[in-house]
Amino acid sequence: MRRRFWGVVTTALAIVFSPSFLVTVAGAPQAAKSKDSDQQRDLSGVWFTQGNVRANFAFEGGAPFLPWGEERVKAGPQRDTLVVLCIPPGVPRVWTEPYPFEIIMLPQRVLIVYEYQHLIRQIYTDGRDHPKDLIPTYMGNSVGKWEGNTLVVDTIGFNDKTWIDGTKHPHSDALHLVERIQRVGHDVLKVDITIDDPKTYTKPWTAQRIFDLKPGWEISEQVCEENNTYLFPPGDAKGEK
Amino acid sequence: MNNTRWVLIGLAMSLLLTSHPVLAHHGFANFQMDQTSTIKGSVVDYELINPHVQITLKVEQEGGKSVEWNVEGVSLNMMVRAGFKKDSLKAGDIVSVTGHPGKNGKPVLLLMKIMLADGRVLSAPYE
Repeated sequence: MRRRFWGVVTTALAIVFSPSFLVTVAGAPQAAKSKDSDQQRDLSGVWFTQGNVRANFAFEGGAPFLPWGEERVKAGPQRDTLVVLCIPPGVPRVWTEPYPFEIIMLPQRVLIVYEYQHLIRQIYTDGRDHPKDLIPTYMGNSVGKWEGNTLVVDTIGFNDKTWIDGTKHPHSDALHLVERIQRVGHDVLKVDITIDDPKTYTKPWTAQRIFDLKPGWEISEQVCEENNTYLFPPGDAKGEK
Repeated sequence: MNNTRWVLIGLAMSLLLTSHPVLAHHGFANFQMDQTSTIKGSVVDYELINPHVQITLKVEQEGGKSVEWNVEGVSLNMMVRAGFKKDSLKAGDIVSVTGHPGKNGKPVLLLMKIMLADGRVLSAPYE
């Protein structure tokens, strides 16, 4: 009898102090993981803009420009910013392009394959941080982590040659993007974007895009240079983007 | 030798620039998106190409004159997804096109929908 009592006590203590019990009580990430199934974290598919294509990340009140930002807008597009020359649009502008993209889920990475210019973003989800001393690029360096069933993508390492969107919101090389990508329904993908660039804007601002799943669509060949008269100087690209 | 090469390159560029004067990547800024027009005419040329699909239509006007209209679609891939095929149009087909007119006053139209010779209607994949 006495032996049985101590057996029950020992078992109870083992359960209470077991990692899984503690995690459940504390509501730690592991608990969220068990709640958010692999299916909810599956962003895979070919997606295309819901509704009309819009080049502008519209938001109320206008962009909170610092003087540099306003000067940059007045200066207008430079030759090395022109997507008409097949230069990458950068992020987040790539979300505004009227082409589909495919998300491919890998164990340690998420790939986004944009039909437009066949750009590929690699979002590392293996826990790594951004490399030190990044060389600035058009599409930046992305790492991701899951918060519930939302993939939170952190991107830095941009050059200052692209625009935030198709309506010439500029950015500097200090641009820091956070994109929260969530499958809000089986056929609907939501991307919430926070644009933080302390060299260009007085405060971070946000944008959102909604995409529809396109079953049966495949990412096709897209050759930006084909029939592109702007490739041949002196193509007057003034006013273009 | 070098001079000859540059002259040839220059000639090639001139040909490219003049043979496809309207081809370039651009958005809808060149069109009056709040206006629509409908034209009917015979197909002169149909090019399922990047960056934008091109249709040339010969439209008869009063008095017996005709005008060639340039009807522009969006990218090849998206037009194919909207149902356009290599043989959807051929020279001589009588088609009717509704679209957004250009801002420059020239006979150009951004395709919204087209009624093909066999009566089928295809629409632009997006606006």
